[in-house]
Amino acid sequence: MSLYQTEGIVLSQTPLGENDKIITLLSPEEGLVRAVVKGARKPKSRLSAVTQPFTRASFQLSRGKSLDRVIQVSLKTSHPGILSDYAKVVCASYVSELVAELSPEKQQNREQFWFFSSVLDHLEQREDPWVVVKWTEVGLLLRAGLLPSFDECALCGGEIVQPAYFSAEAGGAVCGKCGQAKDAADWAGVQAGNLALGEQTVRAIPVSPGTLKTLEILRDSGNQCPNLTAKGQVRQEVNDVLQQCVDHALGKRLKSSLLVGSILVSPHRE
Amino acid sequence: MPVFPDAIQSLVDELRKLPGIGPKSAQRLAFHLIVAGKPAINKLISSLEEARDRVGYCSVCGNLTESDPCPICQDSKRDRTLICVVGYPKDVLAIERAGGYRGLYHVLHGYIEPLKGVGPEDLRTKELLARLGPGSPVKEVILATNPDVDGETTALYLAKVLKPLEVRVTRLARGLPFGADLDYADEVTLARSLEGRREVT
Repeated sequence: MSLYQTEGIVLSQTPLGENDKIITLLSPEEGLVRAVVKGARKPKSRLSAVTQPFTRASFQLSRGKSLDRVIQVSLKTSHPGILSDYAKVVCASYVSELVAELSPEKQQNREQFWFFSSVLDHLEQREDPWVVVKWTEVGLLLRAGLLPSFDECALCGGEIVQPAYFSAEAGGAVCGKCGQAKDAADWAGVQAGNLALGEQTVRAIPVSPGTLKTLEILRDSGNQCPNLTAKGQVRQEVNDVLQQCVDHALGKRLKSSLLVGSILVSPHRE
Repeated sequence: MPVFPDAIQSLVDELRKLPGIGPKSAQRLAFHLIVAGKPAINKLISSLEEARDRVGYCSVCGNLTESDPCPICQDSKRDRTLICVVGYPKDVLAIERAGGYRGLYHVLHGYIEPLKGVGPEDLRTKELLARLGPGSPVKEVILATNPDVDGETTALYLAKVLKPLEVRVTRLARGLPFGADLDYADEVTLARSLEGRREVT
């Protein structure tokens, strides 16, 4: 039996048989790890409470053929501030699903781990989880090399001129000049959510300067979640743009995105 | 490689779809049924058909029942000012087994699970709010969801939507299991037990 010790954050859990469960961990040394927790669903299990989602702990595991096995857990934090707020639990579930999609299995990824650890800390501390979720989406896509461009036109490479729009399929923000070069029917198509690129039709969203500025701040803030909030049109546009980016990068829609979308429409506790 | 006759293979495949049944268990059950013979198989078939035809969901609480409303909802001796909200019908059985509770139930048929795309509208939350509408005798709602992340999320959501209604909302206590050793308790459970401590009278 080969034992190893690693720090980790529990991203999700699924039942296994009658008494056990499988957890997915994000670890700095091992990347994504799937491990069995024996007896975790028995009432007197010592491992049940310390292997709940969003828990950060030091894990002792034994390597297995397909799944590792959790032997011992020493708790660092269970993030009680997240677990006591419905909106924050939903947001934490969404960012956990996203980081699981964008992290390779069994591959060292210290930067991803520490970034995600600070995401959960920020989520616990901030009153409005919106900015933390948006900063996480931008940060994870940026680290994966999948973030489209926001500050120059994806078609001509020039400055963004209004009216601008955004299309993940076209590669990012598209300037008004490229938009205006199309005929009136094309622009009407953009307003309706479609843009003609040659013979192709791609999904596009009209975006305001405030939205592009917000996206740039989120991208340039690095490991520090920025202190910003957005309301009304900008908030909705940022939500739509990043939803399109995530869907396009993953080639599918995350299961938790519908629920998190309904929560992030308006500022928390408003 | 030897293969089963089609009829047995089909039986094994159907049994494998049941929860907790793997390929080996399915084979064992299939062979047991074949060996047990016609009377045992006929008895199983009639039990399955009876369950299919006679068991349904109570239109009031959502529990499994042969009569609608269920015997608990019909029982006039039950305390109609109390509703205990649980995730699944099996939880009603667990609380009834424990004894001591004489109120009514409401079964949600699941928990809010963002990672599986299950939201509040997929549960029987509307039916719960309808039971607490104007003129309702209910004074207290006990949230008896599982003490894990999904159960907590569901309880937090229900507490939020029940807040505007004039009804007391309580949550089952969390802490050390009876008969456990304090030094073997995990950190989270022990912290929750301290948070939820009660004055000894």
